[in-house]
Amino acid sequence: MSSDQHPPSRAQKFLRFFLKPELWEEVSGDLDEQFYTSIRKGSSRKAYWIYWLQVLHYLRPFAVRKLINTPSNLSIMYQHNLLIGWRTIRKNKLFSIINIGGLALGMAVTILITLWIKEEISYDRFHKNYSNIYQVIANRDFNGNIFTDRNMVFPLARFIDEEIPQVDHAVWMTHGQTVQFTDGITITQQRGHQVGGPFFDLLNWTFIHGNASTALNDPTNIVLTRSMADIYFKGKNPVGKTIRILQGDDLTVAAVVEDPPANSSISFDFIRPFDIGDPGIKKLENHWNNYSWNILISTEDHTNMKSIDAAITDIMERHTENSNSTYFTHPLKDWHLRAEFNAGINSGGLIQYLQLFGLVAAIILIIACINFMNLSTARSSNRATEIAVRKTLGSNRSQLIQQFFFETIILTLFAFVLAIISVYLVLPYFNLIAESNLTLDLFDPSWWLVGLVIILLVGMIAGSYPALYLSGFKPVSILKGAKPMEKQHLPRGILVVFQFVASIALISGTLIVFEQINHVKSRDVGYDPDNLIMIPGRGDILQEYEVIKNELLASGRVQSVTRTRSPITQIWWRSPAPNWPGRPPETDILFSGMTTGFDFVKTMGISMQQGRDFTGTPGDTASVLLNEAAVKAMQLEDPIGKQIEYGDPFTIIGIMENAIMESPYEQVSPLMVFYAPDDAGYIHVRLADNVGPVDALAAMETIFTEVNPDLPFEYEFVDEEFGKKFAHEERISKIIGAFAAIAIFICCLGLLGMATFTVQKRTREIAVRKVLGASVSQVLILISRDFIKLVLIALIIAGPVTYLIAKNWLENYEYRIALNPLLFLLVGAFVVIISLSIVCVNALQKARANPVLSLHDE
Amino acid sequence: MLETRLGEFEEVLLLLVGILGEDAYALNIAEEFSKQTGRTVSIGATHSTLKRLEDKGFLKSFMSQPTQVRGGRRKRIFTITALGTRALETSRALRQSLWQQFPGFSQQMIYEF
Repeated sequence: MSSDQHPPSRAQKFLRFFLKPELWEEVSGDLDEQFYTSIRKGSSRKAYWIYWLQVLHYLRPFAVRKLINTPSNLSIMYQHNLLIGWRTIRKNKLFSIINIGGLALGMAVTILITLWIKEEISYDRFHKNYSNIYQVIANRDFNGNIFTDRNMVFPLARFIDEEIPQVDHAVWMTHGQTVQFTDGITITQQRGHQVGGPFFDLLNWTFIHGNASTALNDPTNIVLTRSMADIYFKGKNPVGKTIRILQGDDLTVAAVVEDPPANSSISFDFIRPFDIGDPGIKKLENHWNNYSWNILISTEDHTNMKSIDAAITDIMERHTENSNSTYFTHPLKDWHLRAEFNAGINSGGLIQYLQLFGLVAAIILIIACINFMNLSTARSSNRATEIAVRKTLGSNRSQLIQQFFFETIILTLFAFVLAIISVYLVLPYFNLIAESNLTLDLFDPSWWLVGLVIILLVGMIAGSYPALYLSGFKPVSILKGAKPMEKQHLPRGILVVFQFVASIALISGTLIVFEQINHVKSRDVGYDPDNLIMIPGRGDILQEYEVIKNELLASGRVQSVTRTRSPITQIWWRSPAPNWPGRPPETDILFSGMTTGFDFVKTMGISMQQGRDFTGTPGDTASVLLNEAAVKAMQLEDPIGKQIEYGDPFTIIGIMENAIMESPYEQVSPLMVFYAPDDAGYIHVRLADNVGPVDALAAMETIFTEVNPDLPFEYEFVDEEFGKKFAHEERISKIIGAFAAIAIFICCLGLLGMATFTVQKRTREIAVRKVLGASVSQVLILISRDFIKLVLIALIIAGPVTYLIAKNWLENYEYRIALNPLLFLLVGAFVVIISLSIVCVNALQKARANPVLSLHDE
Repeated sequence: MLETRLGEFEEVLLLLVGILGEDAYALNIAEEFSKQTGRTVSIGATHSTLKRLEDKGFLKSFMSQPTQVRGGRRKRIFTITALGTRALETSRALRQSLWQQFPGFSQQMIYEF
């Protein structure tokens, strides 16, 4: 026996750990003996292996000692609760499935909505100065028609910075611009801003290379985001390197910042300073009429913003003659959530939808909880004896309450696991519909805290009623045979009514949203967006317009071509009304403006009400087209040939039908169209009727790339752009629709459970009635009457409530449907039919059964 | 109530205990089992079955005198009880009876004799 070979000590320790102490001597003796024998016979490695194997083979019930101490009384009680809870779940499979499934659905919806809300309210919070950053905006009052404008004049920010001491920084910047960059090889299109003032001190972005203080020092500097830098300078430090604007200047990369996070209101690929050397910019420094820039400011802590607002308004009034504007500040925390203004007052925005969906989620969760309470109390009579026996044996009330809460929390736990699984499965689709990028991070501890809170909260709410109600039974009367709950229908009735109110409201709400969208969609657009293509005038397109136009027309695939200042789906130019003879004093109408070339009306497919289009004659420059809304606002009679004064005199030559260029939910605003072909930014092309778009686009691409060999051919279909105006409402209607479906489903689950239970309870009654001569239909009426009564009450409550909410919502839209009370009747009928069929299918079986069978039971 | 019939493994172990006599302790029985049947078995499995047989009353056991080989640790020696012997006999009787009723086989045996 060699003395340096010992059995593996870890294995021995492990054996000692789990083996019953009384077996230690014999077992370790046997194992050691075998170990030394096999060492003598062969390799020691094999002996080690065998030893380990043998140790593991002793992991058998007879040899393992008790590793857990004997349970205390308390844990026995919990074990018992667990056991009874588990038995109750298994004994009533249908009820348990309904309960758990309903709760799980409710929780899944709540989790989804919580994730979404959490994402939305996290917007912009990463800025260090979060609570002190504001955008300067203005209410511009056009004759009582107030319109909130974010566009400011160029010099304002500098004056704010100099004159208002509480303002730390003021920054002025362009709207997002699309710019094409090249390094000589790769051409890409990037979006960014030109900024003036200490942009990087005001807002916090993470610098990878370079630093905030020097990044914007030189007018030829540019700051790139990481993803843009990766395109051109992959793996290198780009600071000091050059990048060129296509057909433009060379810029020096001064810094690289991380991409703005997804929850940032401001996003960009690059930031560069205004070129102060440029004479155009020099001129702007003293230009108080051009409203085109956004202004952001940051203030000291606890600044009274009212005084800042007044000071800004004061600066503007000193430099301009117009006094129809009031300037004020819009805090960063509202940029994402409360971005909408109505008549100069903040009317919310996304926050309303967050609140709405939060409310809907809460309602759905409450419905699910109500189901739970209803089913538990309904089943209470089945458990009354159990409770009575428990009480007789000495359980006090608090122990019983504890037991019921315990059972609820087990169910809730099940439901929660199910909910998480379903959220995982549904999340990709939800992201698609809501255009969000939500993730469920199960490793986030804060999330688990939320989960725990949800479980406990739901467990408590759902368990409260049965726990308090059931535990209050009098044991003596129950054991004597009294039924515990005969006159207890009222609270359950109220709960059922609440459920149905919520479902009816959600269903009718969805229908109203759908109807409104369809209503707006079927509205007369005023022009023909199909087969119409718009092309931004990049590169040499506009200089070579005549060539392009001729080639397009010669290709045979194009019906007509025109150039305009702005795309037909947007309005870029707003202005006070022109003057005209007979204009009433103090009339201030907000007008939209557009400049076009020849063939505007023909290309857009606008129908003329009176008069004619521009004809390409020199007289066109002194002519103007108006739309019907303009004629109506100006109260002109027989407008053709009349003169208006807008800087110069213009003769009205044509009246167009109202074309919807902006929001399809609003009234069309008065529009004037001037003839200024050289003032163009877009080309609109009407395709010939018999040509497929693929073919036409291919032909167009050849023509355009001849003019602009370096640039990609960009185009947009007008009907698609127009369709985007509905995206928001369509999204909302889809989400609400899904929620309504879930809500009614949960309600039906609850109804199913209740109906099954009622029928079970009344089996003998039904049998007796049948024996005495009742028909199947009489039995069905008897059973469904109670339920239908509740649904009808719900309908009476839900109708007016939904009506008011929907009316309120519709007031956001100038162009809207009239609410039809018939809708509520239809929804009501639908809900009644669904509940009737659920109840009847359940009752039918019993009503048809041979009464002898059920009576035989006793 | 404990099961009084014998499984195949139990039966073999009982027989081995009888064969090994004074040396019938878990390790030895397991090794003898492997030697005789050609199947390997762990000491733990053997031990567990021996314990079960003891619970059924077919075996009894005592701790041996400490030996130098095992560093002064004692071994548990199993011996067969009267009940165990009876169980073995019952099992053998049953089998013999079955063998004799098996026509193909008993015929063959007649020829051989």
